[in-house]
Parts: sequence; C-alpha cells; structure tokens
Amino acid sequence: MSTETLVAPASRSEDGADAFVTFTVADQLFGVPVTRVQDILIPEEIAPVPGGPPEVRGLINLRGRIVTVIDMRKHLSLPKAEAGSGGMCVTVECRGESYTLFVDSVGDVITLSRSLREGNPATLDAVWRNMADAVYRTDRGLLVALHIDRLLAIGTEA
Amino acid sequence: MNNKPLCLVVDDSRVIRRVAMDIISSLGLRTAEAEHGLAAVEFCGTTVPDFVLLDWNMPEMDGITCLRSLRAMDLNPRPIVVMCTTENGLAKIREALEAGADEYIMKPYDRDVLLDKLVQVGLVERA
Amino acid sequence: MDDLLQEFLAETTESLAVLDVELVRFERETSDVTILSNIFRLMHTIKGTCGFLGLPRLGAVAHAGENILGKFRDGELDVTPRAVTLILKAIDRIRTLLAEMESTGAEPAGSDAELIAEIDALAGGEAPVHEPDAAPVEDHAPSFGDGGFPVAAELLAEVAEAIIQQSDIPSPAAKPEPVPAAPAAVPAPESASPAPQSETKEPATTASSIRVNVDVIENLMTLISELVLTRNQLMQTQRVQKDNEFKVPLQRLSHITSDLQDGVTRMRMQPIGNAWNKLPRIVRDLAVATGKKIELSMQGAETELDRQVLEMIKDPLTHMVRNSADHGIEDGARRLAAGKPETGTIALNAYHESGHIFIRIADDGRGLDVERIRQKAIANGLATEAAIAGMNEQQILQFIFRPGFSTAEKVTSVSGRGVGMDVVRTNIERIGGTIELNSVAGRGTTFLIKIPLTLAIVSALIVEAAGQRFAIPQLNVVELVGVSNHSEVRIETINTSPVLRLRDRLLPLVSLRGALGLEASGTGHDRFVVVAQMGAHTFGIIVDRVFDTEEIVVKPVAPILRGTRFYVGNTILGDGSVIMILDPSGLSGAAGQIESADAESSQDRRASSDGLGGDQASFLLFRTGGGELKAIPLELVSRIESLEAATIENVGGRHVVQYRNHLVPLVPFDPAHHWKDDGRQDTLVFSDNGRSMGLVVDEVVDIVRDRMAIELSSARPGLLGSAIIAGKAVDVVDIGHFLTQAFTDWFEVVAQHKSLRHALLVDDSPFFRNLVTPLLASDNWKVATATDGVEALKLREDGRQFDVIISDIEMPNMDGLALAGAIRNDPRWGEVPLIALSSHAGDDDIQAGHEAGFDEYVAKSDQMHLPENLARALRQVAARGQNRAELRRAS
Repeated sequence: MSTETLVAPASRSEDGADAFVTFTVADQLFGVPVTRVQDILIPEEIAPVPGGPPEVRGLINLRGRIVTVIDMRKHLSLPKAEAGSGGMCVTVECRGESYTLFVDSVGDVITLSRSLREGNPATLDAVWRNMADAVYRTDRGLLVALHIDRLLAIGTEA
Repeated sequence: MNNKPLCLVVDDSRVIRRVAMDIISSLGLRTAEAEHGLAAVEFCGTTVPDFVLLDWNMPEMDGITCLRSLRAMDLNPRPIVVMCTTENGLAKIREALEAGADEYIMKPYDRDVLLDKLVQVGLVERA
Repeated sequence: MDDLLQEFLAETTESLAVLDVELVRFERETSDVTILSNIFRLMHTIKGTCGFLGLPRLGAVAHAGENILGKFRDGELDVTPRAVTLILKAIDRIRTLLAEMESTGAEPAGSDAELIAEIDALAGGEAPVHEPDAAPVEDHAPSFGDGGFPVAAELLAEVAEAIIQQSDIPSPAAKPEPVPAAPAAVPAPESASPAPQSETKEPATTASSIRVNVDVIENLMTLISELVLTRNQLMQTQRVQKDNEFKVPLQRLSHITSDLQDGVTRMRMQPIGNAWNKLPRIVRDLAVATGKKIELSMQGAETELDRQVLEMIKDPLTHMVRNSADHGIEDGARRLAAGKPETGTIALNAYHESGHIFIRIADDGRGLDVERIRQKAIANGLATEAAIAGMNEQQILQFIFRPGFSTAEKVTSVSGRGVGMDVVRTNIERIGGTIELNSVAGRGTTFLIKIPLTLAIVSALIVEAAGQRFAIPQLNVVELVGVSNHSEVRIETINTSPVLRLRDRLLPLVSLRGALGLEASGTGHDRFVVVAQMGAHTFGIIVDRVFDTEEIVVKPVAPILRGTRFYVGNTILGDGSVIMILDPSGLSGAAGQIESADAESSQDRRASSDGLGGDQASFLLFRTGGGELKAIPLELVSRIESLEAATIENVGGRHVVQYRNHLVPLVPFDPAHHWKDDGRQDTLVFSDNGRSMGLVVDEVVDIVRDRMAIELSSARPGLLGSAIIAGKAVDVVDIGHFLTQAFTDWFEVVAQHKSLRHALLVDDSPFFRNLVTPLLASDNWKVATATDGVEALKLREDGRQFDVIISDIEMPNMDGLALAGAIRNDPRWGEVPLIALSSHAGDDDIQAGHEAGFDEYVAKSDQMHLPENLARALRQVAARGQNRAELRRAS
C-alpha cells in the first residue's frame, strides 16, 4: 500500500475562510474540510464486499486498520470511470470510523473565503443537494463542498 | 533471619487491612493478612504469628470462633490476640476475654490507639 | 497507600451490589438467618470502614441502615416491604455519595438527615436504646464529627493528593460497576483466598486475585491481536520458504502466542451474572410499585462472555426485564382470572451454543398485543394497511423493533414510556448479535438474544468463491465434503434448489456465489461443500475452493455495511489482505429459499431465517394426488429417487423395488395411483431403524425453508393438516401413516405381535410435536400430546396410562424437570419410563435430567439423527423395563 500523507491537520486558517482538500470526480471539483481528512493514498488492493451497498467499492488495509472505500462516482450517480483508469482515496473520519472516498484525482489544499460561499443552487440534483454543504466560486470553477456526515449516512437512513 | 515480631491482621475489609498494616509496619513490625477467620486459622497452621489483630464480624468464620480455634490449636509461642470490634457491649468484651483474647480494641482506631495496645501487650516499646 | 480510597470505592461498590441481590432474596425468605447475617455484616463493614477513613456522611447513612438490619436480626422489627425499601434507599444514597467521591476524591458536603430520620422513625423513634446485648451499635458508636480521627484524616489527605496526581489514569469505577472481580450474584466473595504470607512490606501480595485496570487489559488485547497477525505473517512466509533454521523457533513462537492469546481472552471473560445482579432489585422495586407478584429466575449466571460484550448488553437486558415486569406480567387478580398462578415469572437463561451466547428472556405474562401493534404500526405510518394485511403475526410483532414504536398503554413511573426496543436491537446488532421475539397471547413473551462469544479472535476456515476469499468461523463448520460430477457424493437439484445426499440424509445447500450475487456458478468443475450448523439447522455452503484455517481477529464491519446480512465481521489475514467473515445464519436464510429475492427487509428476513427455538426447518414440497402442494420436513427424507418404472415389481398386489439387495416397499400417496409401465417414477425414500420404504409421488417440486405452523388439522388420513410454507398453502404429510401402512401391511406377522403402545409427548413447540408424533406413530406408538407439564399432569388426573413419556425440558408453566419430579413422586406414573427431549444437551443438562428422574436424554439439536436417537432411547427404556419386569418375576 503506497501512502503519501499530504495533509497535516490544519484548522481554519483564518477567520472567515475554510480550508479544503480538493478532488475531482468526473471532472467536477469537490472539497472536504481539511480538518476531517486523515490521509490521502493510492489504493492498491481493494477487497470487494459482495452483497453490500452499491456505493461501497470495498475495503482496504490501511496500516492494519480496515477502511471502507466509498465509490464517489457511484455515490454521486455519475457514470462509471473508463476501465483501467486509476483513482485516489481521501480518508475521512466519521462518527469514530474511517472511510476513504475513492475519487478520480486529488488536488491541492485550498483556502476559500466565506464570501465565496453560496447555498446549494436550487437546480442541484436532489442526491447531490443532500450531500453538499455549500458551493464556492473558485477560479477553477464551482467547488462543491461536501458534508461528510450526510455523505456517509449510507444505510443508516430509515 | 528476621526476628521482628510478625502481626497478622484479620479483617474482611481490604481497606481496613491496609490501614492496620500500614500503621503496624510503620512501627517496625512485619505484617501478614487474612480476610476471614478461616484464612487466619489456616495461616497459623503454617506460620505462628506473634500478634493477631482480629475483627469480629466476618464471613466464613467470625472472629470469636477464630479466636477459640486459635486457642484450641495451642500454638507455640502463644500469639497475643487483640479482638477488634465495634461491638463494645460488656458482654461481648467478656466473651472475647473468656475465649482467650489478651486485649480488645474499638473500631475505628487510629495510630495512637493501636500503638497503645501494642505497647500494653509488650510488642513495642514506646519511643 | 495512594490508592486506599480507590480501594475503598471498589470494595464498597462490590458490597453494595451483593447487598442489592441479598436484600431482595431476604425479602422473600425472611426467615433465612444466613442471608440476614450476611447482609448485616456487609453493611456493618461499610460503616466500619467509613469510620477508618473519616467519612462521616457515608458512615451515618450506613449506620442508619445497619440499625434497622440489627432490629430485623433481633426480631424487634418485622421485615416489611417498606422497611426493605428504606434500606435499599440507604444503599442507593451510599452509591450516589460514592459516585461523587469517585470524581472529586472527597466526601461531598450535604446532609442525609431526612433519609436518616425516616429510617430512624421506622426503627422506632430515636437511636436504639441501651441494652447490653441489643442492637450491635449503640450510642458508643463512633461520633462522626469532623477531625475525630487524625490518622484517617491524614490518610485521606494523602489519598486525595495521590488521586490528583494520578488523575490521568482513567478510573475503572467511572463505569457503572468498577471491575467486579467476583460475580455479585454468587455471594461467595473471594472466600477461596489462600493462606497469607508474611512479608515486611507489600502486604497486597497475599490475595490470589489482583485488580487490574480494564484499560490495561484492553491494551494487552490489542497488542496480542497485533502479535497474532504478525505471527500469521511469519508463518505465511515460512510456508513458502519450506525448511530453514527459523522453523523450530517459529513454531515455538506460534504456540506461545496462542497460549498468550487464550490467556488474555480468558482474562476478559466475565460471568453474565455481573450484568444480571441489578435485576432482582429492579424487578423487586417494580413489583412493589405495581402491586404485582413477580418471581425472577436466573439460570446460567456463570456463563462467561467477553467483558466488552457484557458492557454492551447490560442495558438492553435491563430494559427488557423491566418491560416484562412492567408491561408483560399481569396483576395477580388478572392472572388468577386467566387461570395462571398469581405470581408471574420472568426467566433469564444464558447458555453457550455453536460459538455464540444465547440469552433468553421469557415471561409468562399476557404476551404482546398483536392487534395493538398492528394498529400502531399503521397509525405511525410504519406500514400500510394493505401491507400489514399480508403479514403473519410474527412479522407484525417485529414492528416493536422499529424506531419510535411504543405499545405502553400508559406511562408508568417505573419503566417509563415503552421506548427503546429499537435501541435494544441497535445495541445488540452493534456487537454482531441478533434478537428475536416470540409472543403468544395470554402465554407470555420470549426474547432470544444471540451474541458472539467474543469480539476478539476466532479460528476460521478460508474459502474461495468466484475468485474471492471469505472466512467462515470454524465453530459453525461441521465438516467439509468434496464434490464433483464423478465422485460418489454429488450435488443434485430439486427444481432450482441444490441438495446434497450425505449419509442417507438430504442436506439443503446454498451456493456462496449465488447468495452473494457473484457471477453465476459454473458447473462441471470440482467444488466443496462446507457443512455448517446453526443451532438445530444444518446446511451446506457450496464454495469453489477451501484453504487453510487461520486465526483471525474479528473486527466488526463498518456501520455502513451492517445492513448486509451475510457478514459477522471482517479481518486482515496474515498476508495483509482484507477478507469478509461470513455469517452462516445469514446464509442459511438463502438455503433452499424459493423466493429469496422478494422485497422483505433484511431484518424481517433475519428474523425468519433463524427461528426462535429452532422451529424453522427445510421442507420438501411435492405434488401428488391432486389438491394442494404437499410438504414434509426435509430432515425426515433419506433420499429422493427417480425410479425406472420397469424396475418396480408387483408382488401379490404390493409394489417393491430392489435397492442395494433389499426389497423396499413402495406406497403410493394416492391410493388410486396409476402405476406406469415405463418412464420414471419420483419416489421419496424414508429410512427408519434400518428399514426403508418409498412414498410414490407425482412430482418433487422444491425445497423451501420456513417456520412451520400447522393451521388446520386434517381429518384425512395421511395428512397432519395445512400450513403456509413460503407463502404457499400446503398440506403437511403425516409420514407415520405411510410408514405404518408399508410395514404393518408388509410385515403383518410382526404387527400382530406388537400390540399398540401408548406414548405421551410433552412439548410446547408445535413443530416438535408434529415432527415426533409421526416418528412414534411409525413405530407403532399411539401418541397423546401435551404442551407443558401442567397439561401432562391433567392427563394423569384423568386416569390415562402411558407406556412411555417423552418430554421437552424447557416449557412454560411447568418445565420438564419439574414434571419429571412430579411423575416420580406419585405412584400412578411413578414407574413409567421417561425420555427427555431437549435442545440443551450439555453434560450438566443431562445430569440434571437424570437427577430429575429421566431415564434417557435425547438432544433436539441433532434433528438429523433425531429419529435414530429417539428410537435408541425407546429401545433402551424398553430393555430396562423388561429387566425390571424379569426382576420382579424372579423375586
């Protein structure tokens, strides 16, 4: 398992701004709060969980811990990636458990001023609206900031 | 090898055993403990203590039965037994003395009270 | 010295737990001097210790409690519920004070004057009067003023300081109960301690047990788990490298690791009684508050389980017992009116079985009100009226586990609103357990909790299906069978359900590929069947390959995967790969399931896949003689044969077929059966005591797995009645009828010699009554049935006589052991042979059975061999009866 830890846990860099780890899934830019990110890695062997929820791509061994891999394309109802295209994982913590989000690629950590923050557009897909916390305007287009707890509420909803 | 007197503390409360043993060892004596009368009798079967501080109310075997058993064992040298009790009715004290207790001590006792008793029975010389 | 106060807190908390239990016992057996003196002594010790430590508040409360106990002892005061309640109140107060001391390190300020006044008032005015030998503590009692005990005050100050220094060490007593070393339910605290040794210092070394902070053990456990994994990795490497100089030391390391692991695992085990010791008190308080009479019986308190598991189930258990006492048990008048004993019973029972702990909580109260649950489910929008209309009672009952469901008619002061069964289920499922519910109106409610023995390390068989590896807990694995199209053992299909013919029994199978939705199973290549046992149910899991067994650390699956019913956990293997651990009970639901893909929720399916008391079984469905589908328990069928019509011989109007040099009689289900001259003839073969017969049917349809509830009994010979199995109305076949027909017809001579004998079958499970009755009938027994001991004894009053009595052990109202006692103690049935038929067949159970008066003991769990085992037991009691008769003749 090759692991590169890029992110030192940093809290809000300054008042009125939030730091995000960014990543792309099917060319869309997403962000998760840097404070929730534990690790970024390139997965080697993912053990599938037959019969599990479709969003669960499988499990990986992260330094002796079992971490659930969430297939973000599936979860966001995006089309399947082309065969052979790799991916990266962003490991986050949620209610004491570790999950890792399987995404196309991971970008930089960026700090975005609160003034760039907008509520979810009304036109946002219902599935996305539930998982998105807010949308930020950036110079690389719109960034969808994900709400990790809602994102990982799979299987717990009634 | 070790000629300091050995004191056996018999009480069903771990806490009280510790308090008593701490006092006793601070006076330069050796200590051992038993959590009820039966354990005390078993102990004396192998090692004869010089002094027994014996509680009254205990499970398995109470203090007075233990005292009678110890005296019946006819240990050599005869250990000094101090009955230790909150039951301080005269009848109780008489019962204890008749059964072969050398002294009695009222609970709760402190360092000074216990020291007094040990001096009285001649195990410790007052500093 | 530094942890003297800690020690005091631990010691006193233990004593309080024992006090709770003993007081409740004492209230029922007020004449028992031993219990009372034990109670008195405990309270006395608490008071005495408080004196030493200079804890005036605690000491005063304990003193007041001791005072009343002294009056009980001296017969000056009657033991009334009010008095006991007051003592319990004092205990609670002491507990509260302890909790505060725990966090602050000092006795809290405040006054307990009100409580003490109340207690003293009951004790008869002021403090006890002077009497030479009266109450043990008189006015000479230590004055609990401040600063009275310089040494103690010093000690305390020292302790407080030490606690502050050590405050980073989490104290065990922060949990509800600080590491109880001895089960409080079994009040023999550390009596087995050895002879003390003499040492100058280190006085604490004399005890045979020491207290260890829970965190230390937890850490050790984690380290051991890692050690096991590392060991496994090394072993893996070693296997590849064959012989080298590491082989021997590595083996030693391996053994030591295993021993270490065993040791630490055992260290974590605690008797379940530790989770039960608060219950007598709770039930007692509820009974007093509601004016009911309730008896709490606890069996298997010594059953050990992992302390982590214990912590997790403590609250759910308390909740359920509370519910039973508050809502389940009716008041005395209503019980008497319903013909039940005035005192209601809540029975807790814990036992080990197949790597799990089972905990049964049964009450003999009113049972759950299905109609109310139905209405409430609709009212709360949990289901539509139409959906509920299609549900059976069992399914409707499951609604109580849904969030937000409550059936409490009124909010009572004691158990509160009926919240929480959803929480209970969540808690239990969090540790990989399941909970099931069975309720009969007017008869009571039973919950069965199944939880893993330990969350730690198990031995598992590694298998492969569709290129992926899985682990199956070794405890569930009975045997492995290699199958191929060429081997003698092969997989056959009935309709679409695969079965395996194994030693004259048909075993329902589930394909791992199929169940998990992996790519369709290939045919033609060699495969393996893992024969797994879940309680009474045995079935086979078809896998592609079987690897080694490995020690694995069971880690619970992420919450996200908990809805998936196939897994009990996951783990990391020695080679570092992640692997899922299969849950055979989840898979067994898929074995022989005709419509497993329907829209039932996974919970409903789980509830129906592993039936309460094992009432679930696999059924063979077939068509014959027109009318409904016919069903028969698969366990009774030895083989299914498709006979060449040409091989069937007609001997004097009777049909037979040659099979392995034996003539097997064939009986058509339909008397008007038209015997074909060519083609094939489906036949079900039944074997009994070395004899076989074939039941000729039109067509074998399927194998399904379901709970059997016979709804209408049938007047038609050959049918037991109708039932709904897997959503289909079926006629349940009475195989006994056909066996009798085959053998009485065929061996007329034998039959004439055998006069019809009478058997009484006592079992509360309709399934077993229906299973065993035909077995007995086929052996020429005429069978009467009763559902419990009370009903059985009614037959005795009616003057009925039996040649043998076969009884279940666990039954409501009067269990089998009590029944055996009642039978043996009365001349009317005193000599009748007794056979126990029980799902518990541990050595202790068998011993208890024999002591109660049973002659033979047959295990229900081995359903496959039930016919043989029962037949053997019958032969044995018959032989003994003959001996007895001969002895009598001789004397």
